[in-house]
Amino acid sequence: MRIAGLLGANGLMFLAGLGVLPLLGAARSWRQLVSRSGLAYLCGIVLAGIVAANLALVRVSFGWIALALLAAASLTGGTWRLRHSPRPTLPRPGWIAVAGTAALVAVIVEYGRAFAVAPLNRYDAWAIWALKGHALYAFGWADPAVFAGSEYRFANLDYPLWLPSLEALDFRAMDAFDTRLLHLQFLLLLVAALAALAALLHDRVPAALLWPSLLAMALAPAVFDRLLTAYADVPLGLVFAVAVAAGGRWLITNERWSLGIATLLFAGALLTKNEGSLFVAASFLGLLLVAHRRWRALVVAAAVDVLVLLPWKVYVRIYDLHDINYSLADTFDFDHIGGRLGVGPIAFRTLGGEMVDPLAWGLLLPLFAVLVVAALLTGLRALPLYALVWTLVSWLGLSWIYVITHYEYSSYLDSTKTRVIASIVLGSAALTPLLAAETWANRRAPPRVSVKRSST
Amino acid sequence: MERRLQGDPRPPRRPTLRLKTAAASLVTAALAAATSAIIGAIEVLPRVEDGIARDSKLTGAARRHAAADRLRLDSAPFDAFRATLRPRERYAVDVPPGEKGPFITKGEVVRAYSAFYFLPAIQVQAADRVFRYRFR
Repeated sequence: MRIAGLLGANGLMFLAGLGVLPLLGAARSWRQLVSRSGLAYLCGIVLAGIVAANLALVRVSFGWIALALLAAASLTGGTWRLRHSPRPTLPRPGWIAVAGTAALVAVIVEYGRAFAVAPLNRYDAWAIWALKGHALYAFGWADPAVFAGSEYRFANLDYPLWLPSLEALDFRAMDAFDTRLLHLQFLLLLVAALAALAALLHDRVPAALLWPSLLAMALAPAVFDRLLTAYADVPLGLVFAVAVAAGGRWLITNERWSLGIATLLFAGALLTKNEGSLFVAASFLGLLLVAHRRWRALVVAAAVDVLVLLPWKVYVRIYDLHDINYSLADTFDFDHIGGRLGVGPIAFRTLGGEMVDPLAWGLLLPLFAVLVVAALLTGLRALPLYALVWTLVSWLGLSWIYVITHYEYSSYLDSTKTRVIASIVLGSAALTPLLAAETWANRRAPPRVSVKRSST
Repeated sequence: MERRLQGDPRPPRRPTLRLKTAAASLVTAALAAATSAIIGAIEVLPRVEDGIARDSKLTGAARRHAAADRLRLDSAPFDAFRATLRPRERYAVDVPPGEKGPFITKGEVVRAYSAFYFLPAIQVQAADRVFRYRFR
C-alpha cells in the first residue's frame, strides 16, 4: 500500500505539471500538450515541492488534499487555456525513439530493483535531508524547535526546503516514515528529468543523437551512485540540467515558454541547495551576456525566481541561520583569504579532474567541450558562449568555496569533490545534443564576416 | 545542388571547413554519446547487481540501524531510549566528545544520529530526559 501511495502522489504531481504546461505557454493546443507532456512530470514535481516548501514556513501542511487541490487547480487552468483548440491526435514515434525509450525503461527498471532495497545509511542523507523531511512530516511545518534549534545546527539549517518538502509529501502519501521506499522518489526524479529533456529537445535534435545522449546520462555511473545515496546533489543537477537546456532553447528560438520552463526549474534549483544559487546566477549571467537585447524577459524571469526564494530567505534571517561550512562574507576577510589563495587552483584542477573521470561520468563533459569548440568554429555564438559562461563561472564559484571555508581544505575537497560537480556535468550533458544539432543546422549559414562585407 | 540541377559544368566546390566541422560534430556527438552509454553500462550495471545482492538481504532491523552500523555505533541504547519517548518530548544527549574526525567529533556524530533517530522527539541542550551514550 505504501508504494501505491508514493506512486499516487507522483501521479498527482504529473497531473499538476500537465496543467502547468498550457499556463506557461508550452502547450497552445491539445496536440502540443501531448507532444510536450514529457515536461509535465518534472514541472509537477518541482511545482509541488516549491509550493510545499513555502507553505511549510507558514504552518500549512502539504499532503494529499493540498496536492489534489494543486493538481485540480492546475488542470482546470490548463484546460481553460486549451478550450478552443482541436482534440489531440497521438503522434507516431520513429523507431529510434521507440528503441531509445525501451532501452531507458530497461535501465530504470534495473535501477529500480536496487533503489527498492537500498538502506538510508549515508551521513548527509539522514542527517540533513531525511531528518528535515521527517520533521516536516511529523510536525506539519518548519517548526523552529527543529529547523532553527541549536542542537540541529549540524543539519545545514540554512539549506532551503524543496527536497525535504518533497520527502515529507511522500511520507504523508505513504502514511509512514519509510526510509526504504523513499529512494524510489530519487529514481523517479531521474525518470522525470529524462522525459523532460526528451520532450524539450525532440523537435530540435535528431533522434539518432538525442536518445544516445539521454542513455549516456542515465548510465553515467555517478548518476546511479549519487542518486542512491539520497543526497540532494544529483536531484539538484537534474532539475538544473533541464533548466539549462530550456534556457539554451530560448536562446535559439526566443520562445517565451522555454524561458518559462527554465524559470520554474531554476526556482526549484534555488530551493534545493545553496549551491543552486551559484549555478542559477551563472546561468542568468550567461543568458544575459549573449542575449542582452532580450534583457527585459530575463529580468522578469530572475525576479520571479528571487520572489520564490524570498520567503525562505526571510525565515533564515528571522532565525539567524548560518551556513556551517563557509560564509561568502569571508571573501572579504583578507587575513583568512591571503593564506589560502593557493587552494583555488588546486580545487579548480581537482574538480575538473572529477568532471572528466570516465568511470564516473562517461564521456559527458569531454563531448560537451568538443562541441562547444566545434560550434564556435562553425560560427555559432550565442549557444556555445552561454555554455562556456555558466560552466566556467559555476566551476570557479565552486572552487572559491574551498578557498573561503574554515575547514581544512583537503578533507573538505575530498569529501565533496565527487558530488558537488553533478550540476555542472549534468547541465553540460543536457546542452550537448542541442549544441550538436545547432552546429549541424548552422552548417550552410554564411560566415558572419562575409555577411558584414557584403552588406557594406 | 542548384548549380548541378541546372547543368552547371563546373565541378562541385569542396565542402567548407564549416560544413565538415558541422557534419563531424553531429556524427562524433552521436558516436561519443553511444560510447559513453556503453562505458557507463559496463561500469554501472555490475554495481547495480552487487547493490541488489547486498541490500536485498537486509532485515528490517538491519535496515533501521543501517546508519548506526555504518558509523559503528551500538544501536541497542538508541532503541531502548526511543521506546520511552513521546512525540515532541524534549530530551538532551550526554555523550563524551570521543575521537576527532575531519569535521566533527564522534560525540557530535552521536548527537546528530540521536536527533535523526529520536524524531519526532526534540533534542535540546538541557532536559529532564537524558540519553546517555558511552563509547566502548
